[in-house]
Amino acid sequence: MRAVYVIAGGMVKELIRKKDFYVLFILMLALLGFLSSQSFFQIEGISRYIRDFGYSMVVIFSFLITVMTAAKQLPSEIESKTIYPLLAKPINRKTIILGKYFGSVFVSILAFTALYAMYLVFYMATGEKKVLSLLAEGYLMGGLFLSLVAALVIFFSTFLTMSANVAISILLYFMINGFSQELRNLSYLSKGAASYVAGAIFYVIPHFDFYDMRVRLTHSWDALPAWIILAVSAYTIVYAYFLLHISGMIFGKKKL
Amino acid sequence: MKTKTLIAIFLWLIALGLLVPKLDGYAQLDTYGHDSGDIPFLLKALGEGESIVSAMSILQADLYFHAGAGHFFEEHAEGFAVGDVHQQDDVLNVPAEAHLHGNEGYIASPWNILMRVYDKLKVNKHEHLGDNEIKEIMPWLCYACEIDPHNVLGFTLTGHYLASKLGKVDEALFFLRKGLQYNPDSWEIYAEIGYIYFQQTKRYDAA
Repeated sequence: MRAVYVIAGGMVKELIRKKDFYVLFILMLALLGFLSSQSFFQIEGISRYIRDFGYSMVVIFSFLITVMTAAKQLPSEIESKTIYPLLAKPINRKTIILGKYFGSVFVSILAFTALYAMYLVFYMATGEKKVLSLLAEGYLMGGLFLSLVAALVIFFSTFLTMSANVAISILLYFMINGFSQELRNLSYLSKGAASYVAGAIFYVIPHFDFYDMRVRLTHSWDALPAWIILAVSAYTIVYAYFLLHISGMIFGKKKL
Repeated sequence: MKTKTLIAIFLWLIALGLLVPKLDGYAQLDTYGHDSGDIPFLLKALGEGESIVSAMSILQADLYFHAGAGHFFEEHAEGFAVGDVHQQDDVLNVPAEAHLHGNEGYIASPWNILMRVYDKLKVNKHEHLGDNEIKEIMPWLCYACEIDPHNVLGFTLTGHYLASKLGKVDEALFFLRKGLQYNPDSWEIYAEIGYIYFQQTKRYDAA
């Protein structure tokens, strides 16, 4: 456990030293500030599009930070040979994977918290009725989302280069968000093999769209029932565990 | 190496700057009587992309009109939505239970856990924004017209909502006249102006 803590601690220091997070933070602040200053025919109280853009930016920027952080861990350490001192220590390779994973998750949630806090400031400023349960769900779902993304990127990093990993992860994110509904409908509307294939793909892909609270937060819909939150949490834990287990196996057999 | 890359980027930017006004020639033909220099450079560079983005902005307004839930399988059998400004007030009388799911009418079986969770996560209630919330669609309509000044639907929708839902008749007429500058042959904009004169100001002669 201590080894995991040390590896994760190093990644947090990296987030603080690197400029990526600060650039995204300032960019979000500038964009939200600009959107808030816009006036449309002197109509007062227009706020949904700010909440919409705001939450989208929080999620996308946190996603990018997670992908960038997790994707470079193993490939860059292998390339620069800094992995060898780590391997020489009495820790097994699965622990290294776990350390990289928890480090990535911690760093991502740290960045997400800062961005979400800024979003909350703008959310409150719109004068919208504060729905604490909905805002809490938005935060929780964001954390779960980033946990799944980190596991997937760590898994990819055991056999892909950093640039390929980043490209595939981003592509997957947009494809899954864009086509999940079609996949679901296809499994019902088609018959025979096509239906089974669509259903199987639906079960296999990591459902990033499960965590999307944008519509609920923007349009102030009801909060999700607790059992749904529990189901999504269980899904995340099972999926992330499976990915990390496979990652450990691949990395364990990798010739370095 | 870096200097060469910078020079290449610089040359590409100059080439783009020279090409864009030429590429925009077709747009000038449509906007005779109007100086195409008013259209921002970036939008010119986007070319046809601007009409696509503008159409997407209208769709986003439509999505907002439905409080983010979008259209459902069962509703709008006649196909009208935010775009059909004079019909939507008489929304089809669809029973409430028909709107409880938006998944093409197919409900996942109890054993299909993942799809059931997926369906529960989606916002699946049919709702139209009330009169005091309709202002929320205005940014998207405004952006649609700003991005593509030839988007006639954007102008007519904006004019309609400003006048009939938000009570800003003067602003609506001013905005529609601005739309006419870009689209002088648009009967739709003239019709909307006439409609506003007829319905809102009761100036039947002007209508």
